[in-house]
Amino acid sequence: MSGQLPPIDQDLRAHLARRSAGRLPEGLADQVLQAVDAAPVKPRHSWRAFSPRSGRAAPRTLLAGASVAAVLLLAAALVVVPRFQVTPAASGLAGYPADRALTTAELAALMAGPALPTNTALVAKVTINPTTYVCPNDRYKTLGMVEGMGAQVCVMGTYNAFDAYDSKTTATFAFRYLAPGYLGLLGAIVSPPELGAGSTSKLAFRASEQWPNEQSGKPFLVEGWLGSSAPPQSVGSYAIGCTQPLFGAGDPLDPAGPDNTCKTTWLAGDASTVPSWEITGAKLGVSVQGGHEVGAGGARFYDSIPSDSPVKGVYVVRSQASAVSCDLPSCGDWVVMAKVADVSLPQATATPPASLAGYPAGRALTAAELAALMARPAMLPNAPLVASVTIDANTDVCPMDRYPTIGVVEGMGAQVCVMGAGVSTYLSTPKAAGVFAFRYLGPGVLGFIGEITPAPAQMAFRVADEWPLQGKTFLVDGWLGAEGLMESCARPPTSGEILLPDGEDCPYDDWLSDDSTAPGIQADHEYSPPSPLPSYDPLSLRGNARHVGAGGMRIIDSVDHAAPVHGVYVVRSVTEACAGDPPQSSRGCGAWRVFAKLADVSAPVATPVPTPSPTLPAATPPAGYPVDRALTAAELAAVMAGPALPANTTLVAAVTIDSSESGAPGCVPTIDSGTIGLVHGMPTRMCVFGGGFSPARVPGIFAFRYLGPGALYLMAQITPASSSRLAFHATEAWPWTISGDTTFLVGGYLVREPAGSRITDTPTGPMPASSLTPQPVQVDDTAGIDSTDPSRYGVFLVRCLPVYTPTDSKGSHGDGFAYHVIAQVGDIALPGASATPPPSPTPTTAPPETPIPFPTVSPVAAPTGLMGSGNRPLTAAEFATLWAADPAHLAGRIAIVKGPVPAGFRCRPTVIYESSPSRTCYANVVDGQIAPEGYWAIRVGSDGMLSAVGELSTPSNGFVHSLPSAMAAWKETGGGSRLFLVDAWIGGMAADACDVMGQPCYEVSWLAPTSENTGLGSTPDHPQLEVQPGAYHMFGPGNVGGGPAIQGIFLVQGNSGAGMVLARLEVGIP
Amino acid sequence: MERALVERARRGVGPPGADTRDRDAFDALVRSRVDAVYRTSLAILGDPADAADATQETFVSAWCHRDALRDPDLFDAWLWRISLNACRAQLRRRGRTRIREIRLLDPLDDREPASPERSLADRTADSDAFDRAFGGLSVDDRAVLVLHHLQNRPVSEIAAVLGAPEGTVKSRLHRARAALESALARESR
Repeated sequence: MSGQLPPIDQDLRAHLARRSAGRLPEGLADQVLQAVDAAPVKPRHSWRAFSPRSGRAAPRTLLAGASVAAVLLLAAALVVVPRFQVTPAASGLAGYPADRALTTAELAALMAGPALPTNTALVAKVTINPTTYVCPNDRYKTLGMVEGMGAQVCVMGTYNAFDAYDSKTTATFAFRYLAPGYLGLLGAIVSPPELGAGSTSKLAFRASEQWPNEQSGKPFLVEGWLGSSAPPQSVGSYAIGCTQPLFGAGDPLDPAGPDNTCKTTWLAGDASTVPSWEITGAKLGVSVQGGHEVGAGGARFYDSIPSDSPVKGVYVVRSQASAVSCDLPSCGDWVVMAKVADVSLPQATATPPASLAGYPAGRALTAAELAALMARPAMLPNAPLVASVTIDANTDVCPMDRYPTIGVVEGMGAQVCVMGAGVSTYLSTPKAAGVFAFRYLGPGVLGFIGEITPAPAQMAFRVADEWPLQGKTFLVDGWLGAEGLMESCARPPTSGEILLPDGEDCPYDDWLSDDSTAPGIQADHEYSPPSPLPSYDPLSLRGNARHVGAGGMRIIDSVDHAAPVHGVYVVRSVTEACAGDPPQSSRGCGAWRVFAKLADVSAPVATPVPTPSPTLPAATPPAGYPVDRALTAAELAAVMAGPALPANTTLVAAVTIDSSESGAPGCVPTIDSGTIGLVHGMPTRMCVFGGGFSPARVPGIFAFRYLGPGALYLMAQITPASSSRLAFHATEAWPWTISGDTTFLVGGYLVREPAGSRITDTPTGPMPASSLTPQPVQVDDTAGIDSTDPSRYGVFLVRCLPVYTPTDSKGSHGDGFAYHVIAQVGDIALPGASATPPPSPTPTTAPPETPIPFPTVSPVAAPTGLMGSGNRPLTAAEFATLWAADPAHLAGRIAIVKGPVPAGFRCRPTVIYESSPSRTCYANVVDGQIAPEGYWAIRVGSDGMLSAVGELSTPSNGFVHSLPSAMAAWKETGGGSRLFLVDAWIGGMAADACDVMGQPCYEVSWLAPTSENTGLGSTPDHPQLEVQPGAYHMFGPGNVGGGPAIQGIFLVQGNSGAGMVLARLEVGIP
Repeated sequence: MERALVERARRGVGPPGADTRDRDAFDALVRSRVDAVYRTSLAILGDPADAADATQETFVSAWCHRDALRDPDLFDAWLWRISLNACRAQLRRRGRTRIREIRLLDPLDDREPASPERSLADRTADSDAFDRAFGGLSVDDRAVLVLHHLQNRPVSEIAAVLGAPEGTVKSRLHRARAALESALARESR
């Protein structure tokens, strides 16, 4: 978005100036300062976002008992939570990370595998594409995406540290794994000077070497021992002591330096290193033999590096570019950002071919074989395939975000979308049957490489054969090798787009041959001008080998240069023959590009995968609840289905609250609280009551009070302590906001004293006097906490509320906020395991819902609806077939059905808009059944009941409206609300809530006839329909907070002024 | 000079355990900024007493939470953000109706939107109408209009004050202006 703002409106300016004019109240500054005087002196506040890099530290003083205690507490606070354990380096990653980085394929495998522990540090040589509009900007700024990952992998950076990349950048980067599909960038690694082009020497500096001293603060790797040593009590005539501890790890991507003010932290080549200290002027100098003094506070915290003994590893280090000197004993010129984790690659799912005789050199996969392949667990990302299928050029049912949709593969059990590399990659006919080369991009998604021209005798050509020309794509069974050239390269090899890999492969010249012998150059003289006679290619290779371009695919498919590699390659003729040049010439005009090396795949065994039985512990408290985690949705369902809890029991669960179902029958609002909605995905209706909740669906961690069977009262959304722990410790930095209303959990002992209450870490009361004094709390009368026994540990629901500073007449408090204990989490036990496991489900024939990958919470299925292919409704028979095959798969979804609805429906009250719920049922009911002719939106309830959402209004010339026709039709209805299917683009833009920490993001959303957003709202030339906030990320599915418009067919209820999106429709294939 | 003042106010000198940050430095910061903070609060809130309360709360909060300021160079942006939150709190205490972000169905949406060619002066006959319309906006909408049209701050500063990415500043400004236009249209009927 442009940085140019509209011009100043002078009239508006005049009004605002008028409002702000007038005399300053007399003595205002003095009044303010008096209020500041009245503010109580608080101990140094520990706040995890604090970074001491930019500030001076207090000077050192003599050691004090309080400081020692503070340091011990600090150390305990840093290490108190057992962090993740990563497996030792396994085979397949030899030399990583000291000698080499992860390849693109290796990183892709890691990202596609099981989720790594949060903040795992990685080093990988990849290409970052500065495509910033598909990843959400919230906690971090989007820098781009990693190419060649298959699934989207966003690269995020801190707002302070990183500028955006202008173009694709290939380098060795250090990352932190933030979440599935998200990497946080630590920086591009500076390599040791002896690492030249083509060198395979080490990637990391040794601790004893000269480290880069770049003021830009670029990171580099150091292999060595990280340790800490305590200075002597005195050096010369100076006593050495510690100041107050500086705690706070900083941001994972911008970690703080100093970790322990009473010790010197160093990175050296020897575990037995002992620094030497000397006084220079008034400063304490430290020298480390064979290494350097470093700050490692943040790295110790995020990478769980113990401080009691030296730890060997490869560390990401950068120079500490700070204008302010740091005179603490543990502060140096270098900051350890991270310890590169030992990781192992997930086991590859690709296995040698077993039952695919003749594939791929002799034949392509059949449609059934491809369907079986797509139905099994995810393959390696970017795995190339060749299949003989029919592609239906249906572009309106697949998510179009990263790539445009070409169509849908016919004959697959679940929907398989085919995506193209660019908008020009479209089929010329509504259906195209043939042999196609794809890359596997993800579950249900294939990337289109090209249509294959088969060889006359079999599928693949030999190198010696006459290859197709004129842009055709074909397969070649041969050996891919490379000749190293004596030339300097302008830039390192690049991959290009994975579906159009046009990367360079400097300094190599690639060739394909029918054997593995390096062909060599046949002649070595200047090329003669074209002549009428066929000329020879002076650079032709011996035998029938051909020069090819293989830069790009080598990186994507990990085909090394070291030795020729046999395989079946997807090749394309990328230019036309030159006049006078043999058409099969491999140099000059007839050029060939290798797009992919086909992967070895095997057909899966056609047996259904049984659903594991839900095994719950017999009446035992959930492990880790609620200190480390919340109840899962399944556990909450089990608790609510079990024996009735005591009324008002407080529960904490990670669920999704669906307010689009507010007002549903059965949720009778209480007198003093309205109905928010339902807990999404529960086997039985679970109503949520309370107030102040407007978005359609919000996933998160919530605290509830149990009201009764199927009824919960929403107390608050919980701010977790960290990614691995839910509850804060009593003496940990608690969240606060100036605007207040932050709610979180604290585990400890509630101590009530005449002067006030506190939550402490021990049952014996307040901690010894130190700067880590527990926060005072107020225990609300409504907290329902009867026990005043401080010996009983509890987890308390604490809310930070603002406390305004009244005028002098009302007295003075001084603090901007106060902590209130509003509840104590109740003790619960999960019911025993089910006696009879559920039967194995039959294979589903309904397409899965489109997933939305959220980085911080469990993935939530998008509210997609079902309709028939070709923009038509499902017939009753098709719907019945889908429903019978797997009703669980359809639970909660809306289906568009024509004709009579199977018996068992009920006419469901339809909520038109929040402020005025209407109970009118829009259904033409005849004798207990819906009239035989009509188009209906049917909701499949989680309880197996069907309910009519409403009857559709269809255009005279079809079934699906364009947006302008829908808005015109709405106007004709006189403003009444109707249901329409609308083919439109859904757009979203950040609203205020997206910028407030801890608040759900309710992006402003709208439907438009094109992907353009004029920013002017709805105009006669560009109609635009405003829909409910959050609709963009729920139904697009787009990113939370907004992004580029996404095309789809939407079920919309509303009028010409505004609408409510109820579903985005996909094709249901019986 | 300014940066040094902020540094002294945050850290100061003194023995450990004693909170003896340099109050003189903070006093100087208060006196140099109290006018601007008051006038901005007054533009947003429209009431001198509320603006004075919000100003006092701003500086007290800044003093109490000065540890949260990471970079002294960002002191002003940080202070303005505290000021905006103080304005919000002040409005909340006044018990005003909370402005809903989105109206799902509003009969007024069926009306023709006001012609963008008409100037503000054409559609507001008096200051009271403007104040009523402006008073119906959210604090964030008022703030972005004040920061741009009254104080003429660049995008980067507005983004820092609002705590928003720069890319959203323009859209928020547009939405705030649209909200003001709608409110003025209602006032002019």
